[in-house]
Amino acid sequence: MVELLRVTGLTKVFTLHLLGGRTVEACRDIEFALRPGEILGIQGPSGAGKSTILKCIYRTYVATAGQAWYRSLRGSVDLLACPVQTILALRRFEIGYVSQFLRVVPRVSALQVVAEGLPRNEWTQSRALQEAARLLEHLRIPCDLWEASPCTFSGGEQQRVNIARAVAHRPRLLLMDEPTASLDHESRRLVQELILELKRQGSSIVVVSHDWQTFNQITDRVLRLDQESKACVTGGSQHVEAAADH
Amino acid sequence: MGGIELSGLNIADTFSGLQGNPVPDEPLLRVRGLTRIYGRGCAECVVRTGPEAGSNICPICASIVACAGVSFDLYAGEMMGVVGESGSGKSTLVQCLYFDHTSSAGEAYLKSYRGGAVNMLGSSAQEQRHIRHHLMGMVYQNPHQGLRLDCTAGGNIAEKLLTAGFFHVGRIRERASELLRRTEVPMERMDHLPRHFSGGMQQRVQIAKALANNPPLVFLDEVTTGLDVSVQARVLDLIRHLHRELGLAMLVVSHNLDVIRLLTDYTLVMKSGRVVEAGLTDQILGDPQHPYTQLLVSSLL
Amino acid sequence: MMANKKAVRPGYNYAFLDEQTKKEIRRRILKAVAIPGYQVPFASRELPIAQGWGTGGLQLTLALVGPDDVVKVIDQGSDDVVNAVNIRRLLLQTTGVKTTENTDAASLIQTRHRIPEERLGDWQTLVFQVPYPEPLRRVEPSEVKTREMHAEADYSRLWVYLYEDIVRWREITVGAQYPVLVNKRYVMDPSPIPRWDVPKLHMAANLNLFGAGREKRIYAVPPYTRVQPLEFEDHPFRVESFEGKSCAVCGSTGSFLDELLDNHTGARRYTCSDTAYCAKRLLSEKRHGQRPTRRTDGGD
Repeated sequence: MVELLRVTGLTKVFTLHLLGGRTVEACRDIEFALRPGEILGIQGPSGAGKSTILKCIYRTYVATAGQAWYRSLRGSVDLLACPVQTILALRRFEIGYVSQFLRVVPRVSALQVVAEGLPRNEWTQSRALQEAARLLEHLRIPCDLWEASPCTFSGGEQQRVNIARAVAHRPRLLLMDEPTASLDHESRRLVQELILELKRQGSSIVVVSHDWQTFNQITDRVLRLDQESKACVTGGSQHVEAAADH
Repeated sequence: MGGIELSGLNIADTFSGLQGNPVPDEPLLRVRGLTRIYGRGCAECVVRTGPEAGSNICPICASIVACAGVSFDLYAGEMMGVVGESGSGKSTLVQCLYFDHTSSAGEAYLKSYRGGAVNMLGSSAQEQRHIRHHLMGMVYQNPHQGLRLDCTAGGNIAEKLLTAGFFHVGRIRERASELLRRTEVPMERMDHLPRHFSGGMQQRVQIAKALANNPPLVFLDEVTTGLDVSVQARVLDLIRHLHRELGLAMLVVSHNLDVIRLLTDYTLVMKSGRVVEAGLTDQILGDPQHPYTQLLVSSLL
Repeated sequence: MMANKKAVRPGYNYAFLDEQTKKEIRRRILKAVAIPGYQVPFASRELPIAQGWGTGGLQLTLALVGPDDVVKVIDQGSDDVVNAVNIRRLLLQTTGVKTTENTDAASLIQTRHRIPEERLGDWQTLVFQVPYPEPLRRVEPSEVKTREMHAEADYSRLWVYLYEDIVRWREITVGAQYPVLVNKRYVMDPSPIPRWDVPKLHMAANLNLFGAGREKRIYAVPPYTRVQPLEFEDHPFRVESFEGKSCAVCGSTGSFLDELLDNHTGARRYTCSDTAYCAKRLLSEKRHGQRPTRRTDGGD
């Protein structure tokens, strides 16, 4: 099967100019591949560089070395090196990113926040709002909150809006950074189901999480990061479960 | 299991629409090596100034290198930020592109001007005036620069329309009231002098004027600087809204990283007249590369 | 051949100005004719009348007048007011040229603030006295800027002025000095003629020359040139209306009328502003017992 994403030699070293040019290595030589319709978990202790990997792929971080070949609908691109225009277009149409926390303009309604995730030249304003309403409904956001700013929501509701925004355009590749960190049991279940639904529809997903209860059931494979060596291990879910049993 | 149903959501449909939205391959605005030097200038000016020299004043001839070697591409419908401290050359940059200042060197091509084949910085004054009035809009920090404060709000908008050959008072007023409605200026203020308006409303009239001839490109030069926080928020919301609704390309100049974060996809960081870093706005804020950008980001409150 | 040699005072060059000066002014006139509506700067000379009393027009007349010319001088339509009389006398005393009050007989007419009612022919030249040549002055005080605006044909601010006039007063309130677009290029101040006279400039057979002595500018509307008043599609240019009024002297209903207030009775009277035209109508009525047919503005 053709891979959707292949990451090789991904290394990120931060140079802190304000501290006299000190360098901090966040991850080194990360290698993994993602097949279409697959859910890949990234696991590891805090500070192991899990989020850094996602951010490098999404280009919020500038990778120091490595490649991330993504098979887009318009051909293969190295996400780490392609022009920003390509990244912006891919973000708009193909790649979604769920951050750890929702960050929105406090004056924009939840409905609007989700609708803005839809590319405007594809969706008219009214259709986008309809679509957003549907998503919020699926994610069980009470409809009397839709016109309010998500800033006023509970942590769980905020995170669900965050996810709704990221998946509104049905990304082919979804990067999720601790999507369930602030959620209660019920919300976690909802997110889990949403991820499975996206998978069923063909999305490929990379999830960074500590929350194994939610994710070990749904990930197809797991990438384990080790803080000391920054090396990585890949395997199936069972493999990780076995490791956790020790 | 089975609480959520996503029936009716069809990924295949969304994807198939994608082919119709290729990455735009030709930028709306292409700028190469834009340079503006105040003073007589010498051969050493550009070499002896800049962020490494820590100054934009030439040590030999004392000319001021306001900006030098600025290059970038701005694509249709995109918001681009230019950030930097006072005196970094960011305002000079947009004012050169809007022909308020002449450029000392460099080229700029606008897709909608002769198919992007002619350097508009070298065009005649008439041509430049045509470009200014038909293909660009400008919103200045100071409403005095962008508005005639002793002409009515409607008259200010009319000026742009009249330049475009709209010689019908009724239709001018129709268009002006539509623009004022979009920019949330009460209709009854249309025939009042902007001199008597609040700062926020003056800015909104300026925005309406800038949009009068449906330009594909609008420059925003520190539009919210000097406004109250709540007024600032309303103006920024308006800009976001207009951008989404009209699909304009905008070049947003600000020293305020929050404004840049709120509005733009892509950002140039300027210091001492040079671009020291350029990249996706979230990358500039999340993983700044240049020492100056790191300082700038770390100074965020 | 000089018509009136005896009237000429000795000691002056022909037509007062020295030949070099006349040559320079003629060159400026040629340039003005070549670029219709464009204001040509010239070195305005001192004359034995004060600036502001028609020195611009007079310098043009002096530079142009030849021994065979027949000259008419009018002020606000009248041949007999003091300014017109004095200018005519100066011309007579320095040239001995023949003068007339009859528009049809004059080859060279110097005027202040009116165009004669009788239509001029291609053999006639009309010289206007201009107080303020710059039509953009009411929106821009800087001469440097207005020149730039002319160079770039940037008249939007004047248009805004007219737009705001309409917004404020529901019509354009500019009375005299109505700005016109000449030959589709330059906006020109036609001197303070009433709106009534503006259409007469359009495709006129005669040469129109404008001289501003204090402001040192010469400009021209050559024969058969387009002259369009600035107007909006939904607010077309209109001339003054004298609906229901007629000249108290000659009975004319087709000429520009002056309003006169009788100090004793307070009654309003209207008479032709063009006195020569009025007199001619009256004379012809007396002779033929009928009023002459109208030969006037561009309406016919």
